[in-house]
Amino acid sequence: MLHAVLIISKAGGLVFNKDFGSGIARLTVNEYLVLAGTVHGVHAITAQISPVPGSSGLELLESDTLKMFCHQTQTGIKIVIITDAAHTGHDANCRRIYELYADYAMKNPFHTPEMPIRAELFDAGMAKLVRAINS
Amino acid sequence: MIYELFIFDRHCACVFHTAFNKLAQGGKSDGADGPGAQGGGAAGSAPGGGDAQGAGAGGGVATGAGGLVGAVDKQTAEKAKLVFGVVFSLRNIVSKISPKQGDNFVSFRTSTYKLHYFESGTGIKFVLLTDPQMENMPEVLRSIYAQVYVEYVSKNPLLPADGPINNELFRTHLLRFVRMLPGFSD
Repeated sequence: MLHAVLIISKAGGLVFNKDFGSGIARLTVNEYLVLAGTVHGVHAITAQISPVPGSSGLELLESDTLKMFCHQTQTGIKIVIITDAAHTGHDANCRRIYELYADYAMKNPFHTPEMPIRAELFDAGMAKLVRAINS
Repeated sequence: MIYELFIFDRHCACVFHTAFNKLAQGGKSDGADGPGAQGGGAAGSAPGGGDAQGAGAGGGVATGAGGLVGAVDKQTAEKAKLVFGVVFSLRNIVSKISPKQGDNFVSFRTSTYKLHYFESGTGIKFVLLTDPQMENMPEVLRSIYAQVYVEYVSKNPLLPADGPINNELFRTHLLRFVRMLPGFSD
């Protein structure tokens, strides 16, 4: 069960967020911005505290009831999904979302990089994808 | 593979650190910190602010480096602060996004390591770094707390309530416990 999707730009700004259902607490826009900033910062530090050299940043965060998966693309954009603890296939889900991002945000001539994604096709594609994942 | 253990007290200071399979440090593998380790931490019996933290954090690692004790201490203390910062932030994130009260942050992983977290009712935080293939081990950290920490630190009347843990018995039993864990040095 996928509860929320966040897309964080390479500077740590929130460019897209959407929650689905009531699986996570209802957050205000401001709280989502703080969440994105925190994930961005923690992601950088987790790579530094590795006991083994050459670590990536935070990938999967687990709590008693939730999992948060963070996929960083080559261009530094982070796709974060929040799911319930039983969910699997996070990486594949994130890659599908990245596909949507590439198709409907990056290829959209009216989209400004680093700015919030406002594209109907992207929203529609995301809704369809999440429905498929959650069913 | 189990890499490192950090213990933070309720004042957020690192009171204990030890590395088990010293890959990153480049020293010999094995966490058996000889008597030399005491040198780094002995000064810490006077707890107070950053000094105690530095001494406590360094206690576990000081042996491997020989003459470079001071440098290693500082490095480890810095790392302990980063670890605590990460854990603190992630704990906040979890409590913020979770729909139900009292959801606990359990672990996170990156491509090369996994960090396990356990907090006792009294606010003592245990952080264990392992390789990313390890399962979640909340019960292991709980046992380290209940069977080793409580037995040899809490019940020791000679140790100050706060401040770095300089207790050879604790160290020995901790090492024995961790060595028995499945996947200790895979």
